[in-house]
Order: sequence, then C-alpha cells, then structure tokens
Amino acid sequence: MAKAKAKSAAPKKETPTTDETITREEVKETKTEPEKAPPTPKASNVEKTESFTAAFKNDAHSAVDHFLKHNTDNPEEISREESNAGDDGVRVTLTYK
Amino acid sequence: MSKVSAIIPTLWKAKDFTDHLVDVLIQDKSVGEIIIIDNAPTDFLYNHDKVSMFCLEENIYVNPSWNLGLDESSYDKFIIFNDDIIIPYNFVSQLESLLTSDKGIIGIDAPSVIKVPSFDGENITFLDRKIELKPITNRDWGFGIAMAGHRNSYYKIPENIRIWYGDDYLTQMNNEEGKVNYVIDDIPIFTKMSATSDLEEFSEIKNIDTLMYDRFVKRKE
Repeated sequence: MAKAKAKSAAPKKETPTTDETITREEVKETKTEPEKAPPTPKASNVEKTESFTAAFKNDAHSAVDHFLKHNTDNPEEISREESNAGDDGVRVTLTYK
Repeated sequence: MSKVSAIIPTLWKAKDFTDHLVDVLIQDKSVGEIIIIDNAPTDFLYNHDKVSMFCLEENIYVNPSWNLGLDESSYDKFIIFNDDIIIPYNFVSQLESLLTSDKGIIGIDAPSVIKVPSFDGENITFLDRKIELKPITNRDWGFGIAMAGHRNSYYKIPENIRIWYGDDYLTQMNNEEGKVNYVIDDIPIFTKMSATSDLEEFSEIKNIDTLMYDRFVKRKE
C-alpha cells in the first residue's frame, strides 16, 4: 500500500535565472528495449578478474594463491596474466569464476 | 499494485552507470518513483515523471542521503542503489514481492558483485527468473551497493555516521528487532566499485564514521 504522497510536486531544480546559477544538462534515456536484452546469467557463471600487484613477481603470484585459497566461495581459476606495473613492480591479473 | 521507491545518492562520478541505472528503473513497472539525491554542485537533470531530483547545495554524504530518500519516499517498499552499478532490467519487479515487513534488510551477496573498469553494454541483461534470498548473520563486502526492504525495516542512521557503516547499522538494528537480513543469491551486479567513496577527500570522514560507529556498538554491548 503506497503511503500518501507528501509532496505535491517533485522538487526538481528550478531553471537557472541568474548568472551565478548552474546550467543543467538534460539526460536522454537510452530507451533500450528491456526484453531484447539477453537473459541474466548466474553470477557464479560470470568470469571475474582481480589484480594483485607486488614488487616481485613471486609475491604477486603468492597474493593470487592466497586469494584463491582463502576465498570461502571456492573460486575456480581460469587464467593468470602478468603485466608491468611500473614502479609498483608486477601486476598479476587473475580471471576466475 | 504495490510499488517500490528507488533511491540513488550521487556525486556523478560514474555518470554512464547512473544514466543506465535510471533507465532500467524507469522501465521497471514495479518502480513507482526514483529519488535522486544530488550531492554535486554541477550535475544533470532526468526529465521523467518517475524521477524526483533533490538538488542539494552541499554534499550531505551517503548515509544522510539514504535517510532523506526514505523521508521523501511515497511507497512502503524501498531500494537504495549506489550510482555506479549495473543491475538487470526487471530486477525490482522480481524483488518486489520479497520486500515484506517481517524481513530485515536485503543486500547483495559478495560473490555476485563483479568489479568492472568501465561501463560495458555487454553487461546489460534482462532478469527472467525469480530472485532467491539467502539469510545472513553478518554483513559481507558489497552488501550495501544495493539494499532493499520494507519501510518498517529501515532505521534512520545517526547523523554523525555519514559515509561508512550505514549498512552495518541497518543490519544490526534489524537483528536487534529479531528480523533476519538476507542477500540476493547469484544475480550478477556489475560495479565500478567505490568510484566515489575511495576518494581521498573522504578519508577523514571515514575515521570519524569508524569512531562513531564503534561508540554505537559499544553502547549496545
């Protein structure tokens, strides 16, 4: 049961009338047709990524191992990718489900 | 038909996410109104009958924004969203019947929160199956990116807890009332995680929030 509407009109921002007020841009809705979107998968079936950065490559991989071992959701490792993290060292990006 | 008030505090740090979220909610028949708590000095306007924009002169921060949204909402059921998430179309319609006054707060399950670097249309989907809930005893990471419930399960968050611990407060208050809190099971929610709350300017507030919430917990012990 809906509560009675307390406000008679939505308190939208009033149209600016002085030089000091802010001009507001109207947002266009995307008008996607919802039913045409693909069905929502289970979150557990969606691949996710997590990045771990450390000064040394082995430490970054150890962080990945720790994440996998101690995550109570028992993630399944799909892949790992190493990349250069500049001054921070090495970044290992884990893809998992 | 019973409807749901959707509440979105925003600083417009992930506008493409927010634009899409509002579009999803506009097209969801169970959403009766969309209340945007606009905490930014320069921002945008959604011109739609469902949308009310509360444009604030200064940032009141997220927890007071939730309180304001609930105060201004017109329906008995509510859902509060972060502004940087992608939910499926039809999400609120599938959730609405589960928002009953005997339940506590319903949030998002940590494994269902999928961090993404930017908005991607590939993550837009339509929820064509029923939502199932899992009871929880403690709030986990990601719980508060979308929280729903019946108005009777919302407790006004103290004004001195402004950004963090609002979801902790709500789950704890419901526990004390003997209500069970839940998470939505296995529905993917994509997020540009902490697009706003990780900002350096909020670190001092986090310290204060931590102190205030600790005091609240100690008073209860």
